[in-house]
Amino acid sequence: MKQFTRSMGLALLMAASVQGAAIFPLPPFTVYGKVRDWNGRALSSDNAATVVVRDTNGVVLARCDVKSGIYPGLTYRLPIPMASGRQAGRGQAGDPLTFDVYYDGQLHTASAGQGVRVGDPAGSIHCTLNLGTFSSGGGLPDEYKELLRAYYDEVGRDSGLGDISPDDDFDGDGYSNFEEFLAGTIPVLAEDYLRITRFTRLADGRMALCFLSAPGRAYSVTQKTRVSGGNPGNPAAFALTRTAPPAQTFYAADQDAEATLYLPPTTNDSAFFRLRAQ
Amino acid sequence: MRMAAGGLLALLLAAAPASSRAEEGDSWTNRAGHALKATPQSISGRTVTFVQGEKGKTLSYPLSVFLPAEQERLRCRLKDTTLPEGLQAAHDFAARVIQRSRLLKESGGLPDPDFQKAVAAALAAFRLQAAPFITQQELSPERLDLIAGKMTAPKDP
Repeated sequence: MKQFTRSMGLALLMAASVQGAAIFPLPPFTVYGKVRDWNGRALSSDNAATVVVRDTNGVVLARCDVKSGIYPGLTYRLPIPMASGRQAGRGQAGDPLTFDVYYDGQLHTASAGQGVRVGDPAGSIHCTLNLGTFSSGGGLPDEYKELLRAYYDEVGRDSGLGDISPDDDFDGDGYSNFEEFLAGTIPVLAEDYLRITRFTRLADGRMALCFLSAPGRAYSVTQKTRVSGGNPGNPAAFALTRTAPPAQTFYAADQDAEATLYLPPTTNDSAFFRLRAQ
Repeated sequence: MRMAAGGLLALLLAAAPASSRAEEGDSWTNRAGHALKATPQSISGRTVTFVQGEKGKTLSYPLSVFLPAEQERLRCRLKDTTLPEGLQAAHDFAARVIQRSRLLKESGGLPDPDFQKAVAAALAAFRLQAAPFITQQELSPERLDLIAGKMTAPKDP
């Protein structure tokens, strides 16, 4: 009996050690994107913000500082360590993730839309983290709706926060409240929406493209020779001054201002340009 | 000549109550009910500085030692446009509406009557959002006017 117990114990130990040895690290799964405050502004390096990703037990899996100016719409990157088996501090495919952002001296829980899960090792997912309160769906934070509410009330459309729909086009300019929130334009000002306000050919053949920028938005331009077709066009390089070489592929705005992008001369008979805000 | 002397006396009498009103204006009541007779000079953050007496003695007090209505009277007197906590977002949004309207107007994308209308709408919405702060005596109507005036002033380039 004693021998049986000893051999059982040995067998259990061996099983445990085999199981322990079976857990090995795997290439990380990366979550990347930008962090947006409740005004829709992307946080930048100036905000000194830190993003933390945790598992459902609250264990920190990865953290990084917000850094702007690398690529439009990309200000954080979290490589989540993975393992072949359950191990604290490492993720496994299918694990739900939660995000916190340390910003402005406070800890904010960030909303990641439909919920983000760890994917396959070495994989990645783009995810915009939104700060603010989301008591109803649709992507508009309650804090932002609260601002619009006064304008709704002013025109006799007294409404609760739930009645302010992201899909509504309050000012009737053809762009919904949510689209204007994303672009940083004013959803209660009919003349304000993302558009090229002026486009002029300069004496040296360069083209100047003007628009109203909004803080916390990154702008890029695509170019195509025909307006029709599903092709979104090719990214166009530009300069921010008349004399600089056209080496920029995006412009990160930090204020409401009239911005001008200088595009190089085109050799095509016709060219169409599209301005994009992220 | 007698008429002139009588006129001068009347003028002096008329001036006297005005002078005593000015002194009353320089009296500030703290939460304990004591009155401070001094002339407010400046406000920095939550500290207010007074000058007292003929020798110009300088006194600094936290704003919070004064009654809420007195705090507002002090801020108003010193033309302080600091916003009550909770009104900053509404202010910033209304200021953006005005700023972008102005930019659109300058670029020819918004006719002047429409610009005026946009500014009026932004201010009306801001006043609506500020109303609870006035009720709670965190903001006086006079200071709201000051803040609104600053919002509509063109920004320095």
